Amino acid sequence: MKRPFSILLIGFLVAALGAREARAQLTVSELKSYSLEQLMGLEVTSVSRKPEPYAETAAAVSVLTEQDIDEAGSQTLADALRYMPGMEVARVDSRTWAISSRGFNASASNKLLVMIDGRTVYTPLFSGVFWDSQDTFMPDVDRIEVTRGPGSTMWGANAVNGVVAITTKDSRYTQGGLVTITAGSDEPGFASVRYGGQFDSGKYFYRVYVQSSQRNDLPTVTGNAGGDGWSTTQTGFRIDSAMPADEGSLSFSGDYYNGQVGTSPGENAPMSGGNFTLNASRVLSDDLVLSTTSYFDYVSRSVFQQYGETQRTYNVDTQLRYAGWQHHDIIAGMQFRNSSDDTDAGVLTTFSPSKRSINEGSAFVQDEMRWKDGRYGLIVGSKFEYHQFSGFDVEPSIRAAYHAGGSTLWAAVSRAVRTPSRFDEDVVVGVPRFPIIAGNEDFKSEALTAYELGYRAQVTSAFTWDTSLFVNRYDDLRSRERVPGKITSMLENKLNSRSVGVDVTAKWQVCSRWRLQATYTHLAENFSLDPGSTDPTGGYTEYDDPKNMASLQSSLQVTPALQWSFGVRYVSSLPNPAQKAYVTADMKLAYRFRGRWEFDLIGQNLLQKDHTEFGAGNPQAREVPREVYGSVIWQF
Amino acid sequence: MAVLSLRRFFLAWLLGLTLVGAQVGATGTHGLSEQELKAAALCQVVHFVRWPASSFLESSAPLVIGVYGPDPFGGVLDDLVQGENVSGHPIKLVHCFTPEAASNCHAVFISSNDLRTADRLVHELSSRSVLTVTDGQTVESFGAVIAFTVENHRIHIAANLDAARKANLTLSSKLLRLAQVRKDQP
Repeated sequence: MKRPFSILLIGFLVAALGAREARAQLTVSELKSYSLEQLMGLEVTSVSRKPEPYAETAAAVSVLTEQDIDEAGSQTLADALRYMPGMEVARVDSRTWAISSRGFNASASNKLLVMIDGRTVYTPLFSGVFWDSQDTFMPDVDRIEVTRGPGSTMWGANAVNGVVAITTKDSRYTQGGLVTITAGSDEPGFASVRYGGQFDSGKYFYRVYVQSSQRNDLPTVTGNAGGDGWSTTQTGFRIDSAMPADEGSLSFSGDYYNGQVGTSPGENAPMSGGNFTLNASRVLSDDLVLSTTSYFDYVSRSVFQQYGETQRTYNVDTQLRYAGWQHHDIIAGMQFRNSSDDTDAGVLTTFSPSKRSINEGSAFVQDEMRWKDGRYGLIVGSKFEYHQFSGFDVEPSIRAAYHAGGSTLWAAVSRAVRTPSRFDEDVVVGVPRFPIIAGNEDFKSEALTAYELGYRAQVTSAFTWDTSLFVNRYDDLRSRERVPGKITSMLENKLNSRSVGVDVTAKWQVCSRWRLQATYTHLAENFSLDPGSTDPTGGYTEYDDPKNMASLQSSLQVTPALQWSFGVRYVSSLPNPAQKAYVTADMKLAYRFRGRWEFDLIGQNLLQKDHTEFGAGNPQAREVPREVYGSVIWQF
Repeated sequence: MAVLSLRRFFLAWLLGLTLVGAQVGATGTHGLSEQELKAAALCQVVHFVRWPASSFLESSAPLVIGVYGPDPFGGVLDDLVQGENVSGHPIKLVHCFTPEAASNCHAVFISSNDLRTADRLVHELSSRSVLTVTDGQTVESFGAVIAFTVENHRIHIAANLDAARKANLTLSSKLLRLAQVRKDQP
């Protein structure tokens, strides 16, 4: 009944887009022949202001550029994600954020893959991210790409609901010195220094940085001190080869951090970690590029009253890209990773066995095909993974796109899995002989089949529209099965879910000085348990998501030296633990002076004296206060 | 609470999409892009500027055009400057990463990716004989000598006479006729 109507609509849309004429490209000699006067009479007929690779992507991708990050005044990566469509960001306490995409947010949310320069930053202990130890020197972040939806074919297991890829700038673009000092009303402050230079007569560029931050406790809803403050110092470097891009690239970086995390009022626990990362590529011929990412990552920390861990990860990832076959762009790769950990028993939680070494490997292949002068695109690929806990998994995906008239219509079907973490397999919560929750060595991978549809258009030269729709079917989600006659709940895979959602982003360049962006996200989730399941929770520990989120951001260049940006964001209520809806606003005023100086005034959470973002019903829930910061930035 | 109707959801989305899609402007992915136009304009503008005699060691010394920061032209500028010369000075294209390197160029194109760095660079170069060209959204950005903007699909050139004077550069009257002439804010 309804099907012919929808086919008619799609047909009309394709016809409307296809009716736009394609014009022939101007050659270099033609361009050279025009005088300045003639050039000023020519019309720009191609929409991209700067090369916009994302405009044609067959996926729900949004990008935060360095300018976006700077204008929002984000002090941390978690803050930077707040205005992205489809991203749920909830501050649980001073140092914990619950961040997810398209649902399944929890303080230990586990379906988001986060990477910094190709290095995965989630912990294999529970497949989540400790956001307090993922700081990076924000002015040197080049961009943050957020993909909503599965990215498993390229990135592997755990890229289930989304991928956040943070890329830092090549050190050739961060030469010279930069000092920032920030002090705030509720948070004592941050200070950072970076210096970039060259060595070996310009054959290599480098930078080094040190930053230190300190945050106060957030008070609980009952008015007590939360005991969750933290302070860290982090240092790092990056070295980039100056070899020309048509030869390849080489980048080596490392970071180290050391800090204290509050675990209860008056008590602290240490946390430290570091990494070395190597990214290299070699252009073997016009059509063939070989690249590799290798890293070593070390973390040592304790989780309040739960457990302590030391984790070492070694990862090698190699890819070959071949574009010599007409209409095809093929990438194939292999990856190997070893994660080993050593856990300490906590008051409530232990892991059995306490030490483990986990091996994983994968191979993938993907072909991106374009026809009819780039109008039609098809991407077919699959990742084949082996994980020591769950054996083999296959993650295929197929994406189709139609490009015309500066817009793209795309559709995708993909499969993604979340491989078992140490928590799923080995956790023992409570007294070891009579645990309340027990891991299960037969825990299976959780699986997602996602159906997505999206449309992105440059409607006029000043207005862009980007929307995506998805239906996600989850199987084998984690459930807590009561063992008959015992107090133990065993972790099994008897939960299922179907969720549907849509997100819309509209950008409007009102005039040359003023830009507006609005986003809206809607999510509808349905959960069910397999027959025979004895899970009393109905899966509510796995998700706590708002049905609606919306935001509006404005960026205005008041005078050449003064930039004013503000944002308003709305998150609707969370079900369990219950949390009411809230609206709040953030603002930044930046004043540049004599080229080398900048003074910033930043306000966050401005509309209320304080509000909770996660679990207001819980007496331990923290209040996020209104905060005002001042920053001084000096370049030398 | 309304029962979730997947089909209704999808149709509403598709209808909204069609209404938006029908408005999409007649712009193609081919034809002239902004980058190409600005690269061509940069190559032409240098013909309308006179540098002080001390800027060139000899009459056949190269005229150095620097691109500061990530290259926004994707190779187009490299192609356009091949074999070109300005009053006998062959054009040489370099990439600069520091203000010191930029001060050794005759003209520097600053892409406004990182406003803080662009602002600093223009300040550092303001009293040197360097033709600063920006690609800013705001025409009066930073006090550069020349600024390119695209409005209504056409390129606009703004020339800042005070900045040119400070840099000891002479802008030809032909350029001043074509460009929007600006002065520094008091």
